[in-house]
Amino acid sequence: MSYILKAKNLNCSRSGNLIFQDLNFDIHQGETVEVIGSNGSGKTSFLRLLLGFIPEYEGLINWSGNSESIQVADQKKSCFYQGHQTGVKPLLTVFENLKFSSSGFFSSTELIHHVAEKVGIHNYLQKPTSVLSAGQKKRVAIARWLLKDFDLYLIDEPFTALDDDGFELIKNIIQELTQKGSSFLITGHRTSGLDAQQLPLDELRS
Amino acid sequence: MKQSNSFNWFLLVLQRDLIMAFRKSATYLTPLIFFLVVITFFPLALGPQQSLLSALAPGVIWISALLASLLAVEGIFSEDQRDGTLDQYFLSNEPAFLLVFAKVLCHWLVCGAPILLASIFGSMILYLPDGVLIPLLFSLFMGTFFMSLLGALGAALSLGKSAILSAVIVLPFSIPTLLMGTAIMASAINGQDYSGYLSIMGAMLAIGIPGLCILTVEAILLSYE
Repeated sequence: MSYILKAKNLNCSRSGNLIFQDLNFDIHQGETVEVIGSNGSGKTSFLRLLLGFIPEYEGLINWSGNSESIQVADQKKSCFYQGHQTGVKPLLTVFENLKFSSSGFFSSTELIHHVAEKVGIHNYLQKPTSVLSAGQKKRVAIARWLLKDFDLYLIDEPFTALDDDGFELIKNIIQELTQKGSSFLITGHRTSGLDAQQLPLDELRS
Repeated sequence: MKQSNSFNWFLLVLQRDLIMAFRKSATYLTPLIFFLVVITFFPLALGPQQSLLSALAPGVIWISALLASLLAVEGIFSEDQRDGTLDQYFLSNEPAFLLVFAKVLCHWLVCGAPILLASIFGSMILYLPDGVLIPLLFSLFMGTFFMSLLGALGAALSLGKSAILSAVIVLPFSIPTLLMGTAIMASAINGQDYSGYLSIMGAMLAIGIPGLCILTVEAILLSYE
């Protein structure tokens, strides 16, 4: 079965500190993988390494294919990365943030309203994002997952700063998107209860 | 299809940055006010002799414009880097030099263009000789644009480091632009043909736009390592 992303014998150490070693994982279409680890266990480094932002690693990372070649496949799938800094601009209104995250001039206002209603931010669409609370900003970030279709979502700690409603909301959105064929790679401190493959990072640092 | 998508994306970045720049008045007012203040300091410090001011006017306007156009430069990429937008840009599969060019164009529109207009006012209070306002504006137009390009490179090289560093990196590289600009002004004041200098400046810009944009992309990628 073809995978979207596969890593083999991945070792990573930054400035002399071992972050993880001998990490093997793959993610297929429609799958969710949860990277579980305590603070400082390298969850963010792992995501950024997969995306090519960290060059200091050994091992294989393959995008979409069946080959065992060392080279990264050309057909790198479209992916959406959301780090701790979500890229939501405080100077723009919620509506503008969503507009510029979709297709700009050609983005459909209907879609933005629909998405905003779904994540519960439709009441402050015209407010500048700077006046929103941390949880509300997180919801703006989550709304952007739904604006375009991506093959793979790499989301760093999606559940922080959210209330119980938000927690359920994310779980529903992830389930909905994976049913449509997208894959999710998310990080967290504990399991979220999603139907997901678990990748415990703490055990890889012996 | 692909091309029009990239162009659409370019306009998107430009429009978004322009909206943000004009929501925060400091970004466009600081360079403009700095320029005007420096220009008005010269008659105050040197006294109101028309001949002296008139001789100094081209150089003073040029140096003030170059310094002023560096003021807002360190924020070109650092804001996007801090809030994670830069990561998302680089993952979007759109050509990164278009991103850089959109940022440069935005910086020029917000910072260089107001300075260009203010230099008309500057030419009045410094008694710039008659008939050289047009060459001044032409050369300043290209000069400030070149400074925005250089500034973007400096900002990319100093990503994550102290803000003043970008100005220190960029200023030595602005010497050719300054020399060309003042050569254009000297020729215009003496009534000589200055089109040759203008062409050289245009050529510098023609090489600088693609060249410096690509270098800036590489400099941003360096900051990830």
